[in-house]
Amino acid sequence: MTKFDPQQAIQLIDDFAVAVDFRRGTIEHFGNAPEVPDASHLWTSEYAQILAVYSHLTEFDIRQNVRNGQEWLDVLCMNREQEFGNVVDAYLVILLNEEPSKQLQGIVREIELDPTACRKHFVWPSNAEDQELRWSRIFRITVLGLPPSPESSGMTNTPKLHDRTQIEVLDDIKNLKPANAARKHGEQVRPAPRR
Amino acid sequence: MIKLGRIRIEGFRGIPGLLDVDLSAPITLIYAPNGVGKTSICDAAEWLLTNSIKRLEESAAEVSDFRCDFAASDVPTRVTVSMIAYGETLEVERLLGSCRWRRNSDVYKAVSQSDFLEALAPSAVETNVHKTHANHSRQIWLRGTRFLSGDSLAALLESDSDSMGNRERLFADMLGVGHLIETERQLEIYSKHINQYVKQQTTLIENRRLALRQRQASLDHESRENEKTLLPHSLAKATEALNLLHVDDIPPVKPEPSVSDMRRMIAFLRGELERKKNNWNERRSAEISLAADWPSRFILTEQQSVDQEKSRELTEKITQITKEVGHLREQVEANELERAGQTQSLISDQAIFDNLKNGLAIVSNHLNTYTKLLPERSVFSYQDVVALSGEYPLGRAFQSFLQLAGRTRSDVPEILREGEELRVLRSVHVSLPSAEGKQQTENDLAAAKLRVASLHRDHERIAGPIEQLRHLSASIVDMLTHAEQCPVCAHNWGSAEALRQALNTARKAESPEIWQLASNLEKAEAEVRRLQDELDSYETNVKRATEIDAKISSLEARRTAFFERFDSLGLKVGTDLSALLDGLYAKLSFIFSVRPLLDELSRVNVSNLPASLPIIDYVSQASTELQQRMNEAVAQIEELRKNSATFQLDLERRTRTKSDAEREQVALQQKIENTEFRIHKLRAGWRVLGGERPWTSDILAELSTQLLQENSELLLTEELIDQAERLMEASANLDEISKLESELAPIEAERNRLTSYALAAEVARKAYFDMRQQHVRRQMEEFVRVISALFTRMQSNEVYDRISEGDASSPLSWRAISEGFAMNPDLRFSQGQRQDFALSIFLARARGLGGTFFMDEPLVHLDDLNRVALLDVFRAICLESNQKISIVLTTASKATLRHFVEKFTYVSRDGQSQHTPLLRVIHLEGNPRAGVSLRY
Repeated sequence: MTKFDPQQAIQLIDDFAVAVDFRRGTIEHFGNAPEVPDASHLWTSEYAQILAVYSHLTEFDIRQNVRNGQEWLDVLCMNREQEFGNVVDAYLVILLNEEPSKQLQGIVREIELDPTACRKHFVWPSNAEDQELRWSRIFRITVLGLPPSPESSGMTNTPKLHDRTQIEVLDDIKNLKPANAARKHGEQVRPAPRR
Repeated sequence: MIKLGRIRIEGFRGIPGLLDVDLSAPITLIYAPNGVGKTSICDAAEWLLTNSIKRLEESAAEVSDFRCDFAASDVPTRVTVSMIAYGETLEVERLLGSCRWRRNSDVYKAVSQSDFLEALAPSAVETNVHKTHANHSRQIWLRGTRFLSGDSLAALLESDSDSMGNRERLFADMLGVGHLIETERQLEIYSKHINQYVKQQTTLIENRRLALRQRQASLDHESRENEKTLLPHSLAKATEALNLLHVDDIPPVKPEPSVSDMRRMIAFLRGELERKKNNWNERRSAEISLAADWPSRFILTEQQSVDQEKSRELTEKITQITKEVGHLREQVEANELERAGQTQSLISDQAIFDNLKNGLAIVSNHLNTYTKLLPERSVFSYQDVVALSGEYPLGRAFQSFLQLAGRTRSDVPEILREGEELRVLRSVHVSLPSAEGKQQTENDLAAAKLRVASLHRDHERIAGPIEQLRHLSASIVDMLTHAEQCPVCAHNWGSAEALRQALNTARKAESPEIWQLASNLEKAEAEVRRLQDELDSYETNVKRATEIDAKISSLEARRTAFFERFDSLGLKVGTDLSALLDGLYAKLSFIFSVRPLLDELSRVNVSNLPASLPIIDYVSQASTELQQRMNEAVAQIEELRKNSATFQLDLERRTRTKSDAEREQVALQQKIENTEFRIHKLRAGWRVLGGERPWTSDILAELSTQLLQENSELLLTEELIDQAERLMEASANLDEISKLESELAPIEAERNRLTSYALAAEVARKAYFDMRQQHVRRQMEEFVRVISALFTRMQSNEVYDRISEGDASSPLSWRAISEGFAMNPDLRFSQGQRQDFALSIFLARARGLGGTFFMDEPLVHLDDLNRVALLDVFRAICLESNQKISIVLTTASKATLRHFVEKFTYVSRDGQSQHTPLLRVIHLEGNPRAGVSLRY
């Protein structure tokens, strides 16, 4: 089983959140919202809020954390919308210390597909050795930035050909089209027909 | 990096006038209903950058089709753009058939397609690549990396082989290896065609080598050494054979013949040999056919003459017997005919005899009955009877007359009784009143009935209420069981019984008036009854008188009819009707019975009997005479039967003799024919073998010896011809081997030349393949992480964990990983998943390249959550890319437009909202006919 290191996950989220103009925020306490654990993490921007909450691997804990988290985010977003005057998106990230059971995965999928209040994402480590692959579920969080695409110089080079015949073949193919080039080469010299 | 600023479009596709579009924002969303010109903006960019529009090329559109049909005549078809390409500022203007540019604020200059494409895609094309190919590769690359159209997406959603091929090319273009694949494909086509030529040459070489091997195998070692002497030796053998064949007409022969000359000579020799052998075989067959009958050839001819004479005699004998048999048959038939006639006559006489015998007894009875009624006459002769019969008609008329007489005779007693009854009826008298008397009685009856009715009413009027009172008083008396006083006058009667008795007495007391009325009524009713009886009696008498009159009329009519019949029988009414009728009936019965006898007698020739004989005797004597004649006929028939038997025996004997003679004749004829065949065969065989020479044994022996000698010569000749032919073929074979050896070398050289081309093509294709594989693998390793992240975040309903590249053998393939299993997206993905996947690849590529990208209707097939996720992705890409990327999107969906606005309105790249917005929305309005305009 992969050892759970929550800081790895938080660091990855942080990296990809900063890339799209998020900054770390502090957990506030609202009178009209349920409390979220102090160990939770908040990223905030002008267009969205991300709350990451730890949860135990029980249905009760998961549902309670989701309910509390989305209500808390709801209150936070309303406050932000009043402050900035524009719609603010909310994203709730539930951190699990290991892959949930099949039964719990069904509940996870149900919650992720539920559009109520905010978009919900569940993150847990996989068994992969590569750190990014291990936390590949973080890449599913739609609001975050993406892993860097490789810089490309565009179209790749073509092979350098030195053989005279090969160069002749390619030149003729491009000048005459393949079938015509073959006909030209095939009919250059023909043996005299038998008497 | 290629980044477009403003694009000006005039008279192009669906845009008739001028449309100036700013594409500099990170996200430009072009919103319009269908048919307003969204796709035309994408097409304009594609045309400007690549000088072609792929989706229109595929529908065989011409360049002239790029012009808007509704553009005014003074509006050119033109697209102008300001752009930055790899750090260089370019102003480009493309018209139908020309292109010019201005580089870094220099003046406008015409630019060739090659230079322009090289500026947009400077890398990759080697110096040894022809410009045409380089241009094509650059077009493919630009289109694949910069434009994601609805058509491209459709190609990604289909699974047929063409679409899968297109998809592979699209992915290859995205990865920058499309030009390598295209060259590989062309090299494969070239290899396929050049290998056909190689195969043709190889087939030629194999055919010649096979022919060479076959000829070398048939050549012995000495032949090659004696090559110069082969044909002379062949000629010598042929000449020797020619001499043996004793041919008169010898063809001309050269002193040094060629193979063809020898071939013709040998063919001539074989023809002559065949002719000689046929002649020899014919004579030999004739010799063999003579062998069997040769010793007996003279005996056969003598025997043939004897048999032919014998056959003639037999023929005459058969003819004679045939005549005799015919005569006998005629006799038998005549005899049988006579016997049949006699038999028929006998049968007829026997029938007459039987009729006479039977009829005689009947006639005797009727004659007795008749003569008893005629006391004056007891005997009737034959002629009397004939005369008597002649008095009456024949056939049915006589039968009707006899029946009438019989009926009249049986009616006599009834007629007599009815005559008595008629006399009695005529004496009866019935008294009847007069009409006035009857009328008086009817009037009296009516008056009496009126009087009865009047008396009845009076009686009812008076006696009715009194009767009701009586009933009432009876009821009261019944109720007064204990009362002693009268309920009417209160008189006390002392006891209840006394009271009831007094009341009953009073009730039963009758009035004299009522009694008188009742008496009168009874008398009147008696009078009515009397008068009614009188009238009834009168009616009865009238009826009886009518009946008596009717009976008298009936009896008189019957009597009249009877006497009319009596008259018709020819009788006169006398005193004794019965006697008259009995006599007549007995006479008629006699005549009826004797007529058949008279008919039979007329058929018997008894004219010698006297007609004065009594009829009975006459019939008896005629019968006796008939009997005698019948006995004679029987004897005659028997005699005829015996004659027939004798003739029949004689006929059978002659017939057998004739059959024996005919069989003998048939056998003799067969023998004659057989002998004739053998003689003919002998003569024919001898004609072939000896001709007109006499057929003696000495000459036959001489001819047989001659045949043996000829056979030896023919065998020797054939051997000589075979030798000549073998020598000639050996010479010809050597010629052909030399010729094949000389032909083989240039064909092999040609094949080697073609093989070098085929090998060159294969090596080149392998080089392109290796480079492509290497590049793709590197690209894939880098891309797969981004593609996987993009794809999984667009898949809200988690099915696949991540995307990975395919194995090394197919570097342009992908795998979707789910629970550790790798699956082929082509086979497993739904349509929506394929679209997400294609978008993931395109966006991953765009992030790496930077610049402007066009996506025509990219959200059409996505579900709600996927669309939200994709908007997040667009937002993230624009935010994180540090102004490197610009995406131009089109949509016809108002909901999508609103969603974009919500997501992007207050987002800015540098964190300063409201100043540099990420999203620019362009509303297109109008249509190609009315004109297209835009507003931001």
